[in-house]
Amino acid sequence: MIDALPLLSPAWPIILGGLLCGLIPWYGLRKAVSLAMPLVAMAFWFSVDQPGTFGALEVAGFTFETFRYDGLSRVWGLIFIIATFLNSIYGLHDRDRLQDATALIYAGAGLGAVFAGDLLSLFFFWELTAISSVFLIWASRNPAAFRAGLRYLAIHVLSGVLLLAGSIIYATNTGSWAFNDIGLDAPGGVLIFLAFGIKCAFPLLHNWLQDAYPKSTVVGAVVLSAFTTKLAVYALARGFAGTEMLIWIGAVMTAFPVFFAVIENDLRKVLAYSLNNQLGFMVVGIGVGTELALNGAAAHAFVHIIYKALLFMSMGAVLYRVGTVKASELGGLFKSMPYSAFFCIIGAASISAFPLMSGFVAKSLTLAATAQEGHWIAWLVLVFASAGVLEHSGIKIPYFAFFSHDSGKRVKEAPWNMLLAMGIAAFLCVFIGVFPGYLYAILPFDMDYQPYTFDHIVGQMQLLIAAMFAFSLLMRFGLYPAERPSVNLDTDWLYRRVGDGLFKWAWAMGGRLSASIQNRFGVAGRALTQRLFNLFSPAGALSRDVPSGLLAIWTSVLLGLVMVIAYVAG
Amino acid sequence: MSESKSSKTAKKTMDEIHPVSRLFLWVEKPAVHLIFLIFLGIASFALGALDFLHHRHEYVDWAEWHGFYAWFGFAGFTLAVLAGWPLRKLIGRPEDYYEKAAGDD
Repeated sequence: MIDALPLLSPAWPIILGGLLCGLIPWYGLRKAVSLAMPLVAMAFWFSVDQPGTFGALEVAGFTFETFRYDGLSRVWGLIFIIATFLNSIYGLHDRDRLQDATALIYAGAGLGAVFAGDLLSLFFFWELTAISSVFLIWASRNPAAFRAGLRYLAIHVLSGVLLLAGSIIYATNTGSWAFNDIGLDAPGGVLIFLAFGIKCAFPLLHNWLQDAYPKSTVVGAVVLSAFTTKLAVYALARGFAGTEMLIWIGAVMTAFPVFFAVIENDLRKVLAYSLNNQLGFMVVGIGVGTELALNGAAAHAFVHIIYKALLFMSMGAVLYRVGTVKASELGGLFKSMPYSAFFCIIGAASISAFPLMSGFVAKSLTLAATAQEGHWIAWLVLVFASAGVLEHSGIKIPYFAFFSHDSGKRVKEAPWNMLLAMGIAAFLCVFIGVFPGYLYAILPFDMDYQPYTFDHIVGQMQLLIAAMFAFSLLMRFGLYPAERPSVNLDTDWLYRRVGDGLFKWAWAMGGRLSASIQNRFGVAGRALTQRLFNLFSPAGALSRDVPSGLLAIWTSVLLGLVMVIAYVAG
Repeated sequence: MSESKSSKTAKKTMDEIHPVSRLFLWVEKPAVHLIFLIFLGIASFALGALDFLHHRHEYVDWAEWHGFYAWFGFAGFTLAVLAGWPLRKLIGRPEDYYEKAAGDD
């Protein structure tokens, strides 16, 4: 181990790198920083050889534990660092300074949250992930992305507020701020569970993911896919392992996105639904809560971050070169982008859990643990969802982008840095699949598990090959729903359409009320309504000088700060 | 004359294709698709038939039925895809659905 290094959280060099990137105007230097800092963080990770809590910070009488290194945080920390490095390579061509900075700060915040030993440190980094990551959505610099970013920010700030409120109740009643096993029965436990659930995209709380990620930039979507939701999975594993409700929540998460993904035209949105499906497997593992199941959740998170990033990278490359990822406008791109197509197929095979691929050696842990504990209905749903994964991520993504009917689009292959990042990710998918022992060695619990048994290989191949046969038959007989330009309603309809409608109705009613006041009370009433309008209207004094997005950010920052100060002072 | 023009067009079309991809143009041939379909069908039955020769041990009893995963994979996949037809009718909207309402997308 590297003894010369201080025992500091690997989050700090990455956050520092992000801050530096925000200040450095020179593209080359900025990129050097974005590549170097994950390597420094990796050195920090390697510098610890024993579990323990390090990097304690004393602020206002409170001890913030910023570096708790144990079996659970170790594996999440390592994959977050690897993902940060891969993302930096993938984004080398991009000259957006704000994106460079916020991508690193966001990744560092995710790492900080994973290594947080107490609930206040967790809250700080939890909020920082929300605030920094929204810029990756806004970096698209179009009105749709801006609105989606605001919706995303509002939902994630809500998650942060719930976490803080739950933490305060928990700490007040138990006398401890330590972030360990919490459970639903603990005071404030339900609030904390909901906070984690929002970030983990539980069913009905999930749609921020499909709303925001596909509207992010080419690089931004890759970065976003790695951290937020897997941080939530980590938090659930830390605080709510063995909570039986999670088995059912996770089972629903694996199944419902399968149906949405079939009819979705935007391939990055398909990947967002696929993300939900994959998170479901991890959530089931946490709900089962045995050592094997928790190892399954950790292993799945590890490999998932790599192959999901790889799939987002390949679709990002398509978006970068073609200008769209709508399946109805793509097809035949293997003629222009053969390497991207190849890497995409590796990612697709990995997520589908073909033998010798990383998904195979990870997902089987969760399935085995679920069956072992007798949760056979949940197990059956997971098997169905495994066929579903093959449908949307294993076949749909590569097939409709790179094969299918030839769209006639002839473009250049992806830039070298994108290919390099995809190549490393693809290598890791295969390496972990062939040598699972390296992954198993860093999982939270020791185990003796052999994924490559005759029974397991035959069973999995039966599932996958028969499902592929079904796909071929359905395509041949024209039974597969054709890709066509459309948008599909999901839970975001409630706030984008119903909520919006209610707001407009309330606005109209307010207008009538105002007119009524003016008629009734004459000059005094008119003066009052005019003053209110001057102050609060979109062109009023309160919103004249700053964009509403900036205002939303500061509101959330101040909200968090005020609550912390109020607690510490009280 | 027209022959040389069409050969020039064909050459131009081929030039636009990545050199590596030219090695894989056969994947587009309908005959290959048919062969692939037949291969998958045979492979599915063969993998299912393996259960008659070797007893698979599972944690869940009925997963030990012969060809369980093959049947389940085929049925599950088909269900997911065919459900797309009514689901699209139910929740599918024009691409500018939200744009009309809020100037979005």
